[in-house]
Amino acid sequence: MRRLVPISVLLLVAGWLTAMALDLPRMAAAVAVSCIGAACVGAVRGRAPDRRLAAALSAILIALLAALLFLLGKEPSGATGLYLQLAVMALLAPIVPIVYALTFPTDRDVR
Amino acid sequence: MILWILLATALAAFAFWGWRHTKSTQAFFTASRTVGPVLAGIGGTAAGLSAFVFVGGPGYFATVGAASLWIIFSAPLTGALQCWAVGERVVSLVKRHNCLTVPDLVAARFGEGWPRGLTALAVAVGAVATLAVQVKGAAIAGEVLLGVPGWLVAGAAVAATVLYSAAGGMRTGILAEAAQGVIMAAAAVALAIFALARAGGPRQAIATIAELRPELLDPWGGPGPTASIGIFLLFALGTCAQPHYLQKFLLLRDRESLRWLPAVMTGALLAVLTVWVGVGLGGTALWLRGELTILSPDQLAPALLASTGSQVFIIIAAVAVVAAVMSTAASLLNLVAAAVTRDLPQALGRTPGPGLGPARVATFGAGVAAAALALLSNRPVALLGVLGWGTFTAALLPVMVLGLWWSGANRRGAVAALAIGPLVQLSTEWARGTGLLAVRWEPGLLGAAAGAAALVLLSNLKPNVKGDQ
Repeated sequence: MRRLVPISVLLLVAGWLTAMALDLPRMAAAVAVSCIGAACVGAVRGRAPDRRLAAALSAILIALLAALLFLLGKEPSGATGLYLQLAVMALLAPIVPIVYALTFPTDRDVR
Repeated sequence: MILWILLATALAAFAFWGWRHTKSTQAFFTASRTVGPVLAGIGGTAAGLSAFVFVGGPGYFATVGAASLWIIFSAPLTGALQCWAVGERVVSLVKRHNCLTVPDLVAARFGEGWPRGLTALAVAVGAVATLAVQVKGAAIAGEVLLGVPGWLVAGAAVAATVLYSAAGGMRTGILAEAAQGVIMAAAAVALAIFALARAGGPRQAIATIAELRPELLDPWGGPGPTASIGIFLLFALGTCAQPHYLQKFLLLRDRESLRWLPAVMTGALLAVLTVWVGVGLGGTALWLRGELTILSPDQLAPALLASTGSQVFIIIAAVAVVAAVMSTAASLLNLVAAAVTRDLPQALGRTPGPGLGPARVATFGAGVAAAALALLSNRPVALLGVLGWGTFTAALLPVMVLGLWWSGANRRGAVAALAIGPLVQLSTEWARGTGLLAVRWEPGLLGAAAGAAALVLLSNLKPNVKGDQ
Protein backbone atom coordinates (compact mmCIF):
# COMPACT_ATOMS: atom_id res chain seq x y z
CA MET A 1 0.00 0.00 0.00
CA ARG A 2 2.87 2.31 0.82
CA ARG A 3 4.12 2.15 -2.80
CA LEU A 4 0.73 1.67 -4.42
CA VAL A 5 -0.73 4.95 -3.13
CA PRO A 6 1.93 7.29 -4.58
CA ILE A 7 1.84 5.50 -7.94
CA SER A 8 -1.96 5.65 -8.06
CA VAL A 9 -2.03 9.32 -7.08
CA LEU A 10 0.59 10.27 -9.64
CA LEU A 11 -1.22 8.28 -12.35
CA LEU A 12 -4.50 10.06 -11.55
CA VAL A 13 -2.77 13.46 -11.60
CA ALA A 14 -1.04 12.64 -14.89
CA GLY A 15 -4.31 11.36 -16.34
CA TRP A 16 -6.17 14.51 -15.35
CA LEU A 17 -3.47 16.80 -16.74
CA THR A 18 -3.46 14.85 -20.01
CA ALA A 19 -7.24 14.99 -20.31
CA MET A 20 -7.23 18.74 -19.71
CA ALA A 21 -4.23 19.48 -21.96
CA LEU A 22 -5.57 17.47 -24.88
CA ASP A 23 -9.24 18.25 -24.20
CA LEU A 24 -10.26 14.60 -23.86
CA PRO A 25 -13.66 14.49 -22.13
CA ARG A 26 -13.93 10.67 -21.98
CA MET A 27 -10.58 10.44 -20.29
CA ALA A 28 -11.56 13.28 -17.94
CA ALA A 29 -14.74 11.36 -17.03
CA ALA A 30 -12.80 8.16 -16.35
CA VAL A 31 -10.22 9.97 -14.21
CA ALA A 32 -12.92 11.93 -12.34
CA VAL A 33 -14.83 8.79 -11.39
CA SER A 34 -11.54 7.07 -10.45
CA CYS A 35 -10.65 10.03 -8.21
CA ILE A 36 -13.97 9.69 -6.38
CA GLY A 37 -13.29 5.98 -5.91
CA ALA A 38 -9.73 6.66 -4.78
CA ALA A 39 -10.99 9.09 -2.14
CA CYS A 40 -12.99 6.24 -0.61
CA VAL A 41 -10.15 3.70 -0.52
CA GLY A 42 -9.41 4.44 3.15
CA ALA A 43 -13.01 3.61 4.12
CA VAL A 44 -13.00 0.45 2.02
CA ARG A 45 -9.75 -0.71 3.65
CA GLY A 46 -11.12 0.08 7.08
CA ARG A 47 -14.01 -2.33 6.48
CA ALA A 48 -11.88 -5.27 5.34
CA PRO A 49 -12.50 -8.19 5.23
CA ASP A 50 -16.11 -7.06 4.65
CA ARG A 51 -16.24 -6.40 0.91
CA ARG A 52 -19.82 -5.15 0.68
CA LEU A 53 -18.74 -1.51 0.47
CA ALA A 54 -16.15 -2.25 -2.20
CA ALA A 55 -18.77 -4.07 -4.27
CA ALA A 56 -21.48 -1.44 -3.81
CA LEU A 57 -19.12 1.45 -4.45
CA SER A 58 -17.80 -0.20 -7.60
CA ALA A 59 -21.36 -0.65 -8.88
CA ILE A 60 -22.22 2.99 -8.14
CA LEU A 61 -19.08 4.32 -9.81
CA ILE A 62 -19.48 2.08 -12.86
CA ALA A 63 -23.07 3.30 -13.26
CA LEU A 64 -21.89 6.89 -12.92
CA LEU A 65 -19.13 6.44 -15.48
CA ALA A 66 -21.52 4.66 -17.85
CA ALA A 67 -23.96 7.59 -17.61
CA LEU A 68 -21.19 10.12 -18.27
CA LEU A 69 -19.84 8.17 -21.24
CA PHE A 70 -23.35 7.70 -22.64
CA LEU A 71 -23.96 11.43 -22.40
CA LEU A 72 -20.61 12.16 -24.04
CA GLY A 73 -21.44 9.89 -26.94
CA LYS A 74 -24.87 11.34 -27.52
CA GLU A 75 -25.69 13.90 -30.19
CA PRO A 76 -27.08 17.06 -28.56
CA SER A 77 -30.75 16.86 -29.48
CA GLY A 78 -33.96 16.96 -27.51
CA ALA A 79 -34.14 16.67 -23.76
CA THR A 80 -32.68 13.17 -23.39
CA GLY A 81 -29.47 14.50 -21.86
CA LEU A 82 -31.33 16.55 -19.27
CA TYR A 83 -33.62 13.63 -18.44
CA LEU A 84 -30.61 11.34 -18.00
CA GLN A 85 -28.86 13.83 -15.71
CA LEU A 86 -31.99 14.10 -13.56
CA ALA A 87 -32.57 10.33 -13.64
CA VAL A 88 -29.03 9.58 -12.42
CA MET A 89 -29.45 12.08 -9.59
CA ALA A 90 -32.87 10.68 -8.66
CA LEU A 91 -31.53 7.11 -8.72
CA LEU A 92 -28.36 7.73 -6.73
CA ALA A 93 -29.97 10.02 -4.14
CA PRO A 94 -31.61 7.22 -2.14
CA ILE A 95 -29.14 4.45 -3.05
CA VAL A 96 -25.86 6.04 -1.93
CA PRO A 97 -26.90 7.03 1.63
CA ILE A 98 -28.56 3.63 2.10
CA VAL A 99 -25.39 1.88 0.95
CA TYR A 100 -23.48 4.00 3.43
CA ALA A 101 -25.79 3.11 6.32
CA LEU A 102 -25.91 -0.60 5.48
CA THR A 103 -22.15 -0.95 5.12
CA PHE A 104 -21.33 1.25 8.10
CA PRO A 105 -19.10 -0.76 10.41
CA THR A 106 -19.92 -1.13 14.05
CA ASP A 107 -17.13 -0.10 16.42
CA ARG A 108 -16.15 -3.74 16.76
CA ASP A 109 -15.56 -4.01 13.01
CA VAL A 110 -13.32 -0.98 12.62
CA ARG A 111 -9.66 -1.68 12.06
CA MET B 1 -42.65 46.88 12.89
CA ILE B 2 -44.10 44.57 15.53
CA LEU B 3 -42.67 41.60 13.62
CA TRP B 4 -39.20 43.14 13.63
CA ILE B 5 -39.39 43.84 17.36
CA LEU B 6 -40.47 40.25 18.01
CA LEU B 7 -37.65 38.92 15.84
CA ALA B 8 -35.07 41.10 17.56
CA THR B 9 -36.35 40.06 20.98
CA ALA B 10 -36.23 36.36 20.06
CA LEU B 11 -32.72 36.79 18.69
CA ALA B 12 -31.52 38.55 21.82
CA ALA B 13 -33.05 35.80 23.98
CA PHE B 14 -31.38 33.13 21.82
CA ALA B 15 -28.00 34.87 22.08
CA PHE B 16 -28.45 35.22 25.86
CA TRP B 17 -29.25 31.51 26.11
CA GLY B 18 -26.08 30.76 24.16
CA TRP B 19 -24.03 33.04 26.37
CA ARG B 20 -25.33 31.32 29.52
CA HIS B 21 -24.74 27.80 28.21
CA THR B 22 -21.35 28.27 26.54
CA LYS B 23 -18.61 28.28 29.13
CA SER B 24 -15.74 26.39 27.50
CA THR B 25 -13.80 26.36 24.24
CA GLN B 26 -15.16 22.87 23.60
CA ALA B 27 -18.71 24.21 23.86
CA PHE B 28 -17.88 27.28 21.73
CA PHE B 29 -16.10 25.45 18.90
CA THR B 30 -17.79 22.01 18.91
CA ALA B 31 -21.10 22.48 20.77
CA SER B 32 -19.64 20.14 23.42
CA ARG B 33 -19.95 17.29 20.90
CA THR B 34 -23.61 16.78 21.63
CA VAL B 35 -24.87 16.90 18.05
CA GLY B 36 -26.67 13.99 16.40
CA PRO B 37 -27.05 13.15 12.71
CA VAL B 38 -30.25 15.12 12.11
CA LEU B 39 -28.96 18.40 13.52
CA ALA B 40 -25.52 17.97 11.95
CA GLY B 41 -26.97 16.89 8.60
CA ILE B 42 -29.49 19.70 8.23
CA GLY B 43 -27.18 22.29 9.80
CA GLY B 44 -24.22 21.15 7.72
CA THR B 45 -26.23 21.32 4.53
CA ALA B 46 -27.53 24.79 5.37
CA ALA B 47 -23.99 25.96 6.15
CA GLY B 48 -22.76 24.55 2.86
CA LEU B 49 -25.38 26.19 0.68
CA SER B 50 -25.12 29.90 0.07
CA ALA B 51 -27.47 32.45 -1.44
CA PHE B 52 -26.06 31.47 -4.84
CA VAL B 53 -28.37 28.44 -4.89
CA PHE B 54 -31.47 30.64 -4.78
CA VAL B 55 -30.40 33.50 -7.03
CA GLY B 56 -27.37 32.45 -9.04
CA GLY B 57 -28.38 28.81 -9.65
CA PRO B 58 -31.60 29.47 -11.60
CA GLY B 59 -29.86 32.35 -13.38
CA TYR B 60 -27.01 30.06 -14.38
CA PHE B 61 -29.57 27.57 -15.71
CA ALA B 62 -31.01 30.34 -17.89
CA THR B 63 -27.49 31.04 -19.20
CA VAL B 64 -26.09 27.58 -19.94
CA GLY B 65 -29.12 25.36 -19.35
CA ALA B 66 -28.60 21.71 -18.44
CA ALA B 67 -24.83 22.25 -18.32
CA SER B 68 -25.39 24.19 -15.08
CA LEU B 69 -26.50 20.95 -13.44
CA TRP B 70 -22.91 19.65 -13.37
CA ILE B 71 -22.42 21.85 -10.31
CA ILE B 72 -25.11 19.91 -8.45
CA PHE B 73 -24.80 16.57 -10.24
CA SER B 74 -22.66 15.14 -7.45
CA ALA B 75 -25.25 16.06 -4.77
CA PRO B 76 -26.51 12.47 -4.28
CA LEU B 77 -22.93 11.33 -3.67
CA THR B 78 -21.45 14.07 -1.54
CA GLY B 79 -22.98 13.20 1.83
CA ALA B 80 -21.63 9.66 1.79
CA LEU B 81 -18.43 10.72 0.02
CA GLN B 82 -17.60 13.16 2.80
CA CYS B 83 -18.10 10.44 5.41
CA TRP B 84 -16.12 7.82 3.49
CA ALA B 85 -13.26 10.12 2.49
CA VAL B 86 -12.83 12.24 5.64
CA GLY B 87 -15.66 11.94 8.17
CA GLU B 88 -14.80 8.53 9.59
CA ARG B 89 -11.13 9.43 9.93
CA VAL B 90 -11.97 12.81 11.48
CA VAL B 91 -14.26 11.24 14.09
CA SER B 92 -11.53 8.75 14.92
CA LEU B 93 -8.93 11.54 15.34
CA VAL B 94 -11.34 13.57 17.46
CA LYS B 95 -11.82 10.61 19.78
CA ARG B 96 -8.08 10.06 20.22
CA HIS B 97 -6.78 13.66 20.22
CA ASN B 98 -9.79 15.72 21.36
CA CYS B 99 -9.53 17.94 18.25
CA LEU B 100 -11.66 21.09 18.32
CA THR B 101 -10.78 22.61 14.94
CA VAL B 102 -9.79 21.59 11.42
CA PRO B 103 -6.16 22.72 11.98
CA ASP B 104 -6.22 20.57 15.16
CA LEU B 105 -6.84 17.54 12.94
CA VAL B 106 -3.90 18.37 10.71
CA ALA B 107 -1.67 19.02 13.73
CA ALA B 108 -2.75 15.72 15.31
CA ARG B 109 -1.62 13.91 12.18
CA PHE B 110 1.43 15.94 11.10
CA GLY B 111 2.59 17.77 14.21
CA GLU B 112 2.57 21.37 15.39
CA GLY B 113 4.02 24.42 13.65
CA TRP B 114 3.75 24.70 9.88
CA PRO B 115 0.98 22.12 9.28
CA ARG B 116 -1.31 23.79 11.81
CA GLY B 117 -0.28 27.31 10.77
CA LEU B 118 -0.79 26.85 7.04
CA THR B 119 -4.13 25.13 7.57
CA ALA B 120 -5.29 27.91 9.90
CA LEU B 121 -4.15 30.54 7.40
CA ALA B 122 -6.03 28.87 4.55
CA VAL B 123 -9.14 28.57 6.72
CA ALA B 124 -8.99 32.18 7.94
CA VAL B 125 -8.35 33.79 4.56
CA GLY B 126 -10.79 31.57 2.67
CA ALA B 127 -13.48 31.95 5.33
CA VAL B 128 -13.31 35.76 5.42
CA ALA B 129 -13.51 35.84 1.62
CA THR B 130 -16.47 33.45 1.60
CA LEU B 131 -18.10 35.44 4.40
CA ALA B 132 -17.79 38.58 2.31
CA VAL B 133 -19.67 36.87 -0.48
CA GLN B 134 -22.43 35.93 1.98
CA VAL B 135 -22.73 39.56 3.05
CA LYS B 136 -23.00 40.57 -0.58
CA GLY B 137 -25.69 37.93 -1.07
CA ALA B 138 -27.74 39.42 1.75
CA ALA B 139 -27.35 42.89 0.25
CA ILE B 140 -28.53 41.69 -3.15
CA ALA B 141 -31.49 39.89 -1.57
CA GLY B 142 -32.50 43.08 0.21
CA GLU B 143 -32.20 45.26 -2.87
CA VAL B 144 -33.75 42.94 -5.43
CA LEU B 145 -36.36 41.08 -3.42
CA LEU B 146 -37.42 43.50 -0.70
CA GLY B 147 -36.65 46.78 -2.40
CA VAL B 148 -34.78 48.14 0.62
CA PRO B 149 -31.16 49.34 0.75
CA GLY B 150 -28.82 46.35 0.47
CA TRP B 151 -26.49 47.54 3.22
CA LEU B 152 -29.42 47.59 5.63
CA VAL B 153 -30.35 43.93 5.07
CA ALA B 154 -26.70 42.84 4.94
CA GLY B 155 -25.93 44.78 8.10
CA ALA B 156 -28.92 43.32 9.95
CA ALA B 157 -28.16 39.74 8.81
CA VAL B 158 -24.48 40.02 9.74
CA ALA B 159 -25.20 41.72 13.06
CA ALA B 160 -27.75 39.05 14.00
CA THR B 161 -25.39 36.22 13.02
CA VAL B 162 -22.44 37.79 14.82
CA LEU B 163 -24.59 38.30 17.92
CA TYR B 164 -25.60 34.67 18.39
CA SER B 165 -22.30 33.29 17.05
CA ALA B 166 -20.20 35.41 19.39
CA ALA B 167 -22.46 34.59 22.33
CA GLY B 168 -22.79 30.84 21.90
CA GLY B 169 -20.34 29.77 19.18
CA MET B 170 -21.41 26.52 17.53
CA ARG B 171 -23.78 25.74 20.40
CA THR B 172 -26.14 28.39 19.09
CA GLY B 173 -24.72 28.25 15.56
CA ILE B 174 -25.73 24.64 14.86
CA LEU B 175 -29.27 25.16 16.20
CA ALA B 176 -29.73 28.27 14.08
CA GLU B 177 -28.26 26.54 11.03
CA ALA B 178 -30.63 23.60 11.36
CA ALA B 179 -33.64 25.92 11.69
CA GLN B 180 -32.42 27.93 8.71
CA GLY B 181 -31.90 24.70 6.76
CA VAL B 182 -35.53 23.71 7.30
CA ILE B 183 -36.67 27.17 6.16
CA MET B 184 -34.43 26.98 3.07
CA ALA B 185 -35.68 23.52 2.13
CA ALA B 186 -39.35 24.42 2.56
CA ALA B 187 -38.95 27.68 0.63
CA ALA B 188 -36.97 25.99 -2.15
CA VAL B 189 -39.56 23.28 -2.69
CA ALA B 190 -42.41 25.83 -2.62
CA LEU B 191 -40.66 28.11 -5.12
CA ALA B 192 -39.77 25.21 -7.43
CA ILE B 193 -43.35 23.92 -7.46
CA PHE B 194 -44.68 27.41 -8.06
CA ALA B 195 -42.28 28.09 -10.94
CA LEU B 196 -42.98 24.80 -12.67
CA ALA B 197 -46.73 25.15 -12.17
CA ARG B 198 -46.68 28.63 -13.72
CA ALA B 199 -44.77 27.26 -16.69
CA GLY B 200 -47.42 24.57 -17.21
CA GLY B 201 -45.56 21.72 -15.54
CA PRO B 202 -42.08 20.23 -16.08
CA ARG B 203 -42.91 18.63 -19.44
CA GLN B 204 -44.36 21.87 -20.81
CA ALA B 205 -41.37 23.85 -19.53
CA ILE B 206 -38.93 21.45 -21.21
CA ALA B 207 -41.01 21.48 -24.42
CA THR B 208 -40.89 25.27 -24.47
CA ILE B 209 -37.11 25.32 -24.04
CA ALA B 210 -36.71 22.57 -26.66
CA GLU B 211 -38.69 24.64 -29.13
CA LEU B 212 -37.23 28.08 -28.47
CA ARG B 213 -33.68 27.48 -27.19
CA PRO B 214 -32.84 23.78 -27.73
CA GLU B 215 -29.16 24.37 -27.02
CA LEU B 216 -30.08 24.94 -23.34
CA LEU B 217 -31.00 21.25 -23.08
CA ASP B 218 -27.52 20.13 -24.11
CA PRO B 219 -25.72 18.90 -20.96
CA TRP B 220 -22.39 19.77 -22.51
CA GLY B 221 -23.33 23.26 -23.66
CA GLY B 222 -21.71 26.36 -22.15
CA PRO B 223 -18.16 25.60 -21.07
CA GLY B 224 -17.94 22.28 -22.99
CA PRO B 225 -17.66 18.65 -21.89
CA THR B 226 -14.12 18.57 -20.46
CA ALA B 227 -14.65 21.72 -18.42
CA SER B 228 -18.07 20.46 -17.28
CA ILE B 229 -16.54 17.24 -15.97
CA GLY B 230 -13.98 19.38 -14.16
CA ILE B 231 -16.80 21.33 -12.52
CA PHE B 232 -18.51 18.07 -11.53
CA LEU B 233 -15.31 16.76 -9.93
CA LEU B 234 -14.57 20.08 -8.21
CA PHE B 235 -17.96 20.07 -6.48
CA ALA B 236 -17.81 16.34 -5.70
CA LEU B 237 -14.35 16.13 -4.15
CA GLY B 238 -14.36 19.77 -3.04
CA THR B 239 -16.97 18.96 -0.39
CA CYS B 240 -14.28 16.94 1.42
CA ALA B 241 -12.13 20.04 1.80
CA GLN B 242 -14.56 22.78 2.85
CA PRO B 243 -13.83 23.59 6.50
CA HIS B 244 -17.45 24.53 7.22
CA TYR B 245 -18.44 21.02 6.07
CA LEU B 246 -15.58 19.31 7.96
CA GLN B 247 -16.49 21.25 11.10
CA LYS B 248 -19.74 19.25 11.41
CA PHE B 249 -17.76 16.04 11.99
CA LEU B 250 -16.14 17.72 14.99
CA LEU B 251 -19.57 18.30 16.52
CA LEU B 252 -20.85 14.71 16.40
CA ARG B 253 -21.62 13.09 19.73
CA ASP B 254 -20.38 9.62 18.71
CA ARG B 255 -19.20 7.51 15.80
CA GLU B 256 -22.60 5.90 15.32
CA SER B 257 -24.00 9.33 14.38
CA LEU B 258 -22.17 8.96 11.08
CA ARG B 259 -24.38 6.07 9.97
CA TRP B 260 -27.41 8.15 9.02
CA LEU B 261 -25.65 11.47 8.47
CA PRO B 262 -25.39 11.03 4.66
CA ALA B 263 -29.11 10.24 4.43
CA VAL B 264 -30.03 13.44 6.27
CA MET B 265 -27.50 15.51 4.33
CA THR B 266 -28.60 14.16 0.96
CA GLY B 267 -32.29 14.66 1.72
CA ALA B 268 -31.77 18.23 2.88
CA LEU B 269 -29.43 19.04 0.01
CA LEU B 270 -31.73 17.73 -2.69
CA ALA B 271 -34.74 19.51 -1.16
CA VAL B 272 -32.92 22.85 -1.37
CA LEU B 273 -31.54 22.13 -4.84
CA THR B 274 -35.07 21.70 -6.23
CA VAL B 275 -35.06 25.50 -6.51
CA TRP B 276 -32.17 25.29 -8.99
CA VAL B 277 -33.94 22.83 -11.25
CA GLY B 278 -37.52 24.00 -10.69
CA VAL B 279 -37.02 27.76 -10.93
CA GLY B 280 -34.33 27.23 -13.57
CA LEU B 281 -36.62 25.21 -15.84
CA GLY B 282 -39.87 27.01 -15.10
CA GLY B 283 -38.40 30.50 -15.05
CA THR B 284 -36.41 29.95 -18.24
CA ALA B 285 -39.51 28.65 -20.04
CA LEU B 286 -41.53 31.69 -18.93
CA TRP B 287 -38.71 34.02 -19.98
CA LEU B 288 -38.44 32.41 -23.42
CA ARG B 289 -42.20 32.70 -23.89
CA GLY B 290 -41.94 36.41 -23.14
CA GLU B 291 -43.91 36.11 -19.91
CA LEU B 292 -40.92 37.36 -17.90
CA THR B 293 -38.68 40.28 -18.74
CA ILE B 294 -35.12 40.16 -17.45
CA LEU B 295 -32.04 42.23 -18.22
CA SER B 296 -29.61 39.58 -17.04
CA PRO B 297 -29.96 35.86 -16.16
CA ASP B 298 -29.38 36.63 -12.46
CA GLN B 299 -32.71 38.45 -12.47
CA LEU B 300 -34.60 35.28 -13.37
CA ALA B 301 -35.58 34.24 -9.83
CA PRO B 302 -36.36 37.80 -8.60
CA ALA B 303 -38.33 38.57 -11.77
CA LEU B 304 -40.34 35.36 -11.39
CA LEU B 305 -41.20 36.31 -7.83
CA ALA B 306 -42.05 39.86 -8.76
CA SER B 307 -44.36 38.62 -11.51
CA THR B 308 -46.52 36.85 -8.94
CA GLY B 309 -47.48 40.13 -7.35
CA SER B 310 -47.60 38.14 -4.13
CA GLN B 311 -45.82 39.76 -1.22
CA VAL B 312 -45.90 36.42 0.60
CA PHE B 313 -43.80 34.65 -2.03
CA ILE B 314 -41.31 37.51 -2.15
CA ILE B 315 -40.93 37.46 1.63
CA ILE B 316 -40.54 33.65 1.60
CA ALA B 317 -37.77 33.95 -0.98
CA ALA B 318 -36.05 36.80 0.86
CA VAL B 319 -36.20 34.88 4.14
CA ALA B 320 -34.75 31.79 2.44
CA VAL B 321 -31.89 33.76 0.89
CA VAL B 322 -31.09 35.49 4.18
CA ALA B 323 -31.30 32.12 5.98
CA ALA B 324 -28.82 30.69 3.45
CA VAL B 325 -26.51 33.62 4.06
CA MET B 326 -26.75 33.48 7.86
CA SER B 327 -26.30 29.71 8.11
CA THR B 328 -23.10 29.78 6.09
CA ALA B 329 -21.88 32.87 7.90
CA ALA B 330 -22.27 31.38 11.41
CA SER B 331 -19.96 28.46 10.65
CA LEU B 332 -17.44 30.64 8.87
CA LEU B 333 -17.35 33.16 11.74
CA ASN B 334 -16.64 30.32 14.17
CA LEU B 335 -13.90 28.94 11.93
CA VAL B 336 -12.18 32.32 11.65
CA ALA B 337 -12.42 32.81 15.42
CA ALA B 338 -10.83 29.40 16.01
CA ALA B 339 -8.07 29.99 13.47
CA VAL B 340 -7.18 33.45 14.78
CA THR B 341 -7.42 32.91 18.53
CA ARG B 342 -6.39 29.28 18.85
CA ASP B 343 -4.62 27.76 15.85
CA LEU B 344 -2.38 30.56 14.62
CA PRO B 345 -1.03 31.32 18.13
CA GLN B 346 -0.45 27.61 18.73
CA ALA B 347 1.33 27.30 15.38
CA LEU B 348 3.65 30.10 16.51
CA GLY B 349 4.35 28.27 19.75
CA ARG B 350 2.13 30.42 21.95
CA THR B 351 -0.55 29.21 24.30
CA PRO B 352 -4.05 30.40 23.30
CA GLY B 353 -5.53 32.99 25.68
CA PRO B 354 -7.81 31.74 28.45
CA GLY B 355 -11.61 32.01 28.37
CA LEU B 356 -13.92 32.74 25.50
CA GLY B 357 -13.32 36.50 25.36
CA PRO B 358 -10.79 36.41 22.51
CA ALA B 359 -12.94 34.01 20.47
CA ARG B 360 -15.99 36.24 20.91
CA VAL B 361 -14.03 39.35 19.93
CA ALA B 362 -12.58 37.51 16.91
CA THR B 363 -16.08 36.45 15.83
CA PHE B 364 -17.14 40.09 15.93
CA GLY B 365 -13.96 41.16 14.11
CA ALA B 366 -14.46 38.59 11.36
CA GLY B 367 -18.02 39.84 10.81
CA VAL B 368 -16.86 43.45 10.56
CA ALA B 369 -13.98 42.55 8.21
CA ALA B 370 -16.25 40.55 5.92
CA ALA B 371 -18.93 43.26 5.89
CA ALA B 372 -16.35 45.93 5.08
CA LEU B 373 -14.85 43.81 2.32
CA ALA B 374 -18.26 43.10 0.81
CA LEU B 375 -19.85 46.51 1.03
CA LEU B 376 -16.89 48.76 0.27
CA SER B 377 -15.66 46.95 -2.79
CA ASN B 378 -17.36 45.02 -5.56
CA ARG B 379 -14.58 43.61 -7.64
CA PRO B 380 -12.39 41.91 -5.06
CA VAL B 381 -15.45 40.28 -3.49
CA ALA B 382 -16.59 38.86 -6.81
CA LEU B 383 -13.08 37.58 -7.40
CA LEU B 384 -12.77 36.13 -3.91
CA GLY B 385 -16.18 34.53 -4.26
CA VAL B 386 -15.00 32.62 -7.28
CA LEU B 387 -11.82 31.69 -5.45
CA GLY B 388 -13.47 30.55 -2.18
CA TRP B 389 -14.46 26.95 -2.93
CA GLY B 390 -11.40 26.37 -5.12
CA THR B 391 -8.97 27.74 -2.53
CA PHE B 392 -10.25 25.42 0.17
CA THR B 393 -10.12 22.52 -2.30
CA ALA B 394 -6.58 23.30 -3.44
CA ALA B 395 -5.24 23.86 0.07
CA LEU B 396 -7.02 21.20 2.10
CA LEU B 397 -8.11 18.35 -0.18
CA PRO B 398 -4.72 16.57 -0.37
CA VAL B 399 -4.06 16.67 3.39
CA MET B 400 -7.63 15.93 4.46
CA VAL B 401 -8.35 13.05 2.07
CA LEU B 402 -4.94 11.55 1.31
CA GLY B 403 -2.92 12.80 4.25
CA LEU B 404 -5.25 11.70 7.02
CA TRP B 405 -5.46 8.01 6.11
CA TRP B 406 -2.35 7.17 4.06
CA SER B 407 0.25 5.97 6.53
CA GLY B 408 3.07 6.95 4.16
CA ALA B 409 2.20 10.66 4.27
CA ASN B 410 4.56 12.72 6.38
CA ARG B 411 4.96 16.23 7.68
CA ARG B 412 7.18 17.45 4.87
CA GLY B 413 4.73 16.26 2.24
CA ALA B 414 1.77 17.80 4.09
CA VAL B 415 3.46 21.20 4.43
CA ALA B 416 4.38 21.14 0.74
CA ALA B 417 0.80 20.25 -0.22
CA LEU B 418 -0.65 23.01 1.97
CA ALA B 419 1.68 25.60 0.39
CA ILE B 420 1.80 24.44 -3.23
CA GLY B 421 -1.94 23.77 -3.69
CA PRO B 422 -3.13 27.38 -3.18
CA LEU B 423 -0.13 28.79 -5.06
CA VAL B 424 -0.92 26.69 -8.13
CA GLN B 425 -4.62 27.50 -7.80
CA LEU B 426 -4.04 31.26 -7.63
CA SER B 427 -1.54 31.12 -10.51
CA THR B 428 -4.00 29.14 -12.63
CA GLU B 429 -6.78 31.58 -11.78
CA TRP B 430 -4.55 34.41 -12.96
CA ALA B 431 -3.48 32.52 -16.11
CA ARG B 432 -7.10 31.77 -17.01
CA GLY B 433 -8.03 35.40 -16.45
CA THR B 434 -5.35 36.58 -18.85
CA GLY B 435 -6.21 33.94 -21.44
CA LEU B 436 -2.93 32.03 -21.06
CA LEU B 437 -4.82 28.89 -20.06
CA ALA B 438 -8.07 27.50 -21.49
CA VAL B 439 -11.17 27.76 -19.31
CA ARG B 440 -11.32 23.96 -18.88
CA TRP B 441 -8.31 24.13 -16.53
CA GLU B 442 -10.18 24.31 -13.25
CA PRO B 443 -7.88 26.16 -10.80
CA GLY B 444 -9.06 24.47 -7.59
CA LEU B 445 -8.61 20.99 -9.04
CA LEU B 446 -5.25 21.83 -10.57
CA GLY B 447 -4.09 23.16 -7.19
CA ALA B 448 -5.33 20.03 -5.44
CA ALA B 449 -3.63 17.84 -8.07
CA ALA B 450 -0.35 19.70 -7.56
CA GLY B 451 -0.76 19.45 -3.79
CA ALA B 452 -1.48 15.70 -3.96
CA ALA B 453 1.55 15.13 -6.19
CA ALA B 454 3.72 17.15 -3.80
CA LEU B 455 2.36 15.21 -0.83
CA VAL B 456 3.24 11.78 -2.23
CA LEU B 457 6.55 12.81 -3.82
CA LEU B 458 7.95 14.61 -0.78
CA SER B 459 6.65 11.98 1.61
CA ASN B 460 8.52 9.36 -0.37
CA LEU B 461 11.63 11.50 -0.58
CA LYS B 462 12.17 11.26 3.14
CA PRO B 463 9.59 9.21 4.97
CA ASN B 464 8.86 9.41 8.69
CA VAL B 465 10.49 12.73 9.44
CA LYS B 466 10.26 14.24 12.92
CA GLY B 467 6.85 15.52 13.88
CA ASP B 468 4.74 12.81 12.24
CA GLN B 469 2.14 11.21 14.43
